[in-house]
Amino acid sequence: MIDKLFNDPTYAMSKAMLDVTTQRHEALAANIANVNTPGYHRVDVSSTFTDELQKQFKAGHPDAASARANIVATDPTAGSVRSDGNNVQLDQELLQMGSNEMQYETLTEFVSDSLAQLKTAIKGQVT
Amino acid sequence: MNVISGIQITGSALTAEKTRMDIVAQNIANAQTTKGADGKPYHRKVVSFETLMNGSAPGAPAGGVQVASVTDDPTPGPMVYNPGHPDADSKGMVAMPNVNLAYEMVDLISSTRGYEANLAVVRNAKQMAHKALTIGH
Repeated sequence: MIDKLFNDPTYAMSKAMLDVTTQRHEALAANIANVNTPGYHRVDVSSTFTDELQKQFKAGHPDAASARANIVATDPTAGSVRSDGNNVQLDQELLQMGSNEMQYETLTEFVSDSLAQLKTAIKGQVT
Repeated sequence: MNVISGIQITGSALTAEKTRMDIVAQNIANAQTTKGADGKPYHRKVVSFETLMNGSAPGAPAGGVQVASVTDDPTPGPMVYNPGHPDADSKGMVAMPNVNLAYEMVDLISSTRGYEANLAVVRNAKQMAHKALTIGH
């Protein structure tokens, strides 16, 4: 019975999304680390993966897709190749990283709040 | 598993950028060195970076960065007429190092900015880790 509480679809979905957000942070960190590497192409969470994740969520398997490997792939849409073949734009990466952090924060707040709700239900009183 | 995600990636970049700054410092310090250990004028050193792959599988996501090589810039330096110089040749010309201060300053600024960007990543990652640690509080 207690399992049900923690396998609530929205709860499981936010767990999966926290993983994806962490992976995205690592991808963006790699891009910024390689801002001066000639020939480097920026990486990001692949759009095929996000599509797949959305499909899984809709089908009611919020956990299934997060286990898949190769979430991060070379970004095929990145343009503006510099003369050294590197297509990282530092300002863009930092912006993306900021919004990724906000997303992470939103998810952790959501998880915290659902745990607080659960606590309220267990205790039968508002803490 | 890391509490702070991507810390090795950012750490490797900080090391690489600092190496680049060290090399710039070496070049500027030797801007007037007309005789090195090999008896020739100093040649400016150039650092090149390469991506450190994260695992050996093809298509594995990119990891950090490392210094691939530190090579000599082969372009000849200017010849300066200075007959009183101990390294002057029979015509009074001295072979100077090929260090161009403008290039070095540009490199220095670029590596400083790269270093700062990576520090911003660390701050960001720390905040994320902090948020994760306060789940349920």
